[in-house]
Amino acid sequence: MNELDVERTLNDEWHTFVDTGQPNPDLAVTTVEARGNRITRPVLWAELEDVRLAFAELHAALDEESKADALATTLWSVKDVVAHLASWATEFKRQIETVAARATFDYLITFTPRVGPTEWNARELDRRRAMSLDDRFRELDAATVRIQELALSLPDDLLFTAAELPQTPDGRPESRWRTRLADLMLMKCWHDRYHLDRLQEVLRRLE
Amino acid sequence: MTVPLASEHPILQARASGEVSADVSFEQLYDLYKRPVYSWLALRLKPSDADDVAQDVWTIFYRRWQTWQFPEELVPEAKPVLSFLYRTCHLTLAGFRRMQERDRADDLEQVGETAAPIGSWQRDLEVRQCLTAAKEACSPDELEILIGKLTGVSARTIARTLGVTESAVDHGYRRAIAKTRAVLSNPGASR
Repeated sequence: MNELDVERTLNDEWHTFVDTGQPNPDLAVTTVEARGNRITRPVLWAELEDVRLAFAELHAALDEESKADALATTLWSVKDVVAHLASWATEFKRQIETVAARATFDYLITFTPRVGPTEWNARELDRRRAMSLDDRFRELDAATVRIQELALSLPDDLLFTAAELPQTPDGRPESRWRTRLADLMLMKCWHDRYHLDRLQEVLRRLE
Repeated sequence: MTVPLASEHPILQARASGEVSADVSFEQLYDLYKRPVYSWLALRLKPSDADDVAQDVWTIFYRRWQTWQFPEELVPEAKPVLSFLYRTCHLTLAGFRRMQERDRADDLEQVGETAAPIGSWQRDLEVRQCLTAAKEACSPDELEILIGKLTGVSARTIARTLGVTESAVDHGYRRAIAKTRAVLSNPGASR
């Protein structure tokens, strides 16, 4: 067999392998019925890895300082948004570790509906002003990797049971968010992608 | 050389124009791609694990499909859903393997490796000489490149998924073919 024969045969065999496989015929229906809420550890790990890789690509694309200084929102530069994402990655990690240690939170983050935690965001951004862009990405990545480890290692009763978090819509401790850590991890991915879309758009515009 | 698949374009168009709901179009896309997705996994996992990981892949896609962003103009040849599923399979399989490694380390003192029952489809794989030789000969990345190319995933998507350049994907593909050929002509040869 020469290489062309191998290629042809492989193609035929693969085609037959695909055609004769037996995927679950009911999976689409059950996934729709569950509204995509059957969350497992590999789902969490893969979603976190997906945003990690997207940030690595973004970091590589920020090859000139001027790109990092471009305005990404009405107030924040690209570099600021990366600091914002790093601050939330670290905060999500801290929250998950706190719940994992079965400890309680001694602070609140007021999360005003439609406005968000503006004070907390501003304070955390200020704390990172002196950090280089590389360090901001490093913080973001390290916290995400740690959350991935926790997604694989936390016991079920911690990962998939609702926990009380410091976020509150009105500043009152009794209104604190209650959510599963698994959902908090997916919320981090959603938040990352929300900003990633905007950052990628800014980069496209600059190029 | 690619496996001919029906186009996802009409489904994307119908969804983008609001003709069909997210749920209905999800089921249509499942019908279109359930076999390649399952095959990508089943080539490397035992059947029950392939079922579980396939469920994870489709769960991730279902969630993302609800807020899918369509470009202003849909290119008929583009396969964004196939690309998404390929990348998601790769990442979910990596997550599954890490979880297995952790579990194995935890259980090391308790159990030995129990052989998975081999399904008829898997036994059938043994008579597919070339595919079996490829599985034996190729590194995980080469196998990923090979099955991506055989399914019609673009070199760009494969490159992005594996974090390599497109030319590295082409080289990887040629290397996979050469290694498969070497194993076929000398069954003792491997990676």
